Amino acid sequence: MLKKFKAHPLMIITFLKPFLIVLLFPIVNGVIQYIKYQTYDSILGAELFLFGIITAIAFFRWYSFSLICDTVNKTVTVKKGLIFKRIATISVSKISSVQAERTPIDDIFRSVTYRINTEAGITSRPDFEFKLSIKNSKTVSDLLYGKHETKTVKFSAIRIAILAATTSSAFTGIIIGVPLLNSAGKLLGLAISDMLFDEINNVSSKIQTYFPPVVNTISLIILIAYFFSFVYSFLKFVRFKLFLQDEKLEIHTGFFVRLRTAFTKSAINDIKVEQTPLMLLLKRFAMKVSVGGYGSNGKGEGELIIPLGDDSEIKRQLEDYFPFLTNKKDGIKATQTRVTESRFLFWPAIYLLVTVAAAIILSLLFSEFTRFIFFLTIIALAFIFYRAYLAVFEFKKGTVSLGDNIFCRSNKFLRTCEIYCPKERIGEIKLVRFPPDYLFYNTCRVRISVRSERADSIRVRLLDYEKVKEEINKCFNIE
Amino acid sequence: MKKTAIPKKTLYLWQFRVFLIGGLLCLLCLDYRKNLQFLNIVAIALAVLALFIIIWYLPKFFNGYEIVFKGDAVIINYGVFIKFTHIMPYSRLIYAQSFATPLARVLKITAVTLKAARGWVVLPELQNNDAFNIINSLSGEKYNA
Repeated sequence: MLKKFKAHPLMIITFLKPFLIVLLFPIVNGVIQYIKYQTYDSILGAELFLFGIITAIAFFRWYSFSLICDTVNKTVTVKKGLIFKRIATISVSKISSVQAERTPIDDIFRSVTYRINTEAGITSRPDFEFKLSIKNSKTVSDLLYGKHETKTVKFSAIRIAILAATTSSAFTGIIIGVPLLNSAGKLLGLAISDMLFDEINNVSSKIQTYFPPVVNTISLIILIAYFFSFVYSFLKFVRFKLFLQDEKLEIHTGFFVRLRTAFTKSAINDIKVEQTPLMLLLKRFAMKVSVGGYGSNGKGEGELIIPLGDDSEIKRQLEDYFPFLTNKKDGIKATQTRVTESRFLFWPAIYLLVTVAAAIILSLLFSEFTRFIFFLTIIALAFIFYRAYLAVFEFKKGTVSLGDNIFCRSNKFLRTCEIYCPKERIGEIKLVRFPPDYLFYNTCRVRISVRSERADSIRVRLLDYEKVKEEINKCFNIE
Repeated sequence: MKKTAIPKKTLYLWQFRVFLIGGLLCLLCLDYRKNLQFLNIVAIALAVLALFIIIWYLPKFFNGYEIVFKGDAVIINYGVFIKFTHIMPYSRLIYAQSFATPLARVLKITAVTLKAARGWVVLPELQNNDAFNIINSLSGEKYNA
């Protein structure tokens, strides 16, 4: 059975969006001028003509668009273009995910931005993006994935707040906050960022601590940036809901801009269980799925499914939702000896020595900055000790298990990470050996990459080289 | 094993396209030659290049173009000076997209893009039937035209 859907008329505005500022605003300006003073600019006619042409092109682009769902052959056909016609046919099994985004403007017009993602196409951009009415978007999703009994999983606002707090960072806050402040400042005609800096300086000069005022200023900036990141993260996940079906998963997120992402379990490339430094304090983990081809608006392919849970809860939910990904086989671990442990701690020890030496030398050279150098040293030491903890974690718990499913546990920069991935989704396994590895210990570091647009990867260090080779050969039937 | 030939119409279409673009560029050069003398030479060079492409390169290119559906993969051989071979396993194909200009529609031919994860192959204009057979077959994984 074929079912045809037309795009929502709001798509015309989407096409016009890039031209609105250069064309529409001068026209509106000109019309207002004409109404007020009965005079108009000679350029207004040309602009009106150009605007008419662009609007006509946008209209025909919208008119020519259609989406056809073939429920018998299980395909989706996207047709677009009136003069230059493009027709794409995608087998439903090849669709990685579909997304429906609703902004406040979409709410007014009862529309959604619908995206179809596959593993083909340009990285970080959906393969097909168009506007559909809310009703049609639901029908399309039902036709693609079928209607099944759904189990809804909700998470409390407190849990979401803890998640936001544990995943936020000052760096993200700066990336989000600075452009926002600049845009708001331009819009209001105010130098908001200057005002904010003045206020920060004012407040930090009033705080009396052992450290110099610049430390207070830096700390305040970091706190404000962290707060921005927290608010952003909280608003993004506050309406988080997970809808589970036999074969399909649907995730609802967003506060102002609401996003529905749906994908089949077979489209999942891998599952990640991560723990950030703050999550470590609370003994909590977050579980994410990685779906090939997904990743619009510069985002990665990962999608959060369990915001925050303790170890047993995460393991239970992994067993419940993705039993086909679990791996019961014992993995290869680094030999549990003092020598191996010291090899893991080699770099943190070097960093520690260099930091302490640098701090002493700098304090002697610039005695007037001692307190500031002390502050920086404390920060660096905190970072080094955390890295040392991660090194010990990797020594004790780092593992690679190769079977029908691949399981790896290690750390990635500042977080611990577990990856569960089916064997056929592995893109590349790289064994790297440094001189001490092949001269003395016969060890290697294993890097496993998942096949996808923005591949997830993980590396586990100091594993027995021969054992790893043997396991890889056995797993992938390499003679 | 199944081979799909490139129709003669595709050659004519591309020859017409090159003629049109080359002609337009030549006309532009001739139009501005009063102010810029060297444009005479550019116009002649462009005309020679366009003629070379129309008379020698395009027939050679399309004669040597080969689309083979073999086993579980589509193999595409093409190239005049540098020979290329694209092998795309069906399992890696994600979807196919057709593209037709107004002139191609009049000639009843369509270009096809085969999209795979992290790559794609563009097939030049094929007969509409062949093109749609390829596209439709992708939903059934194999081409059985």
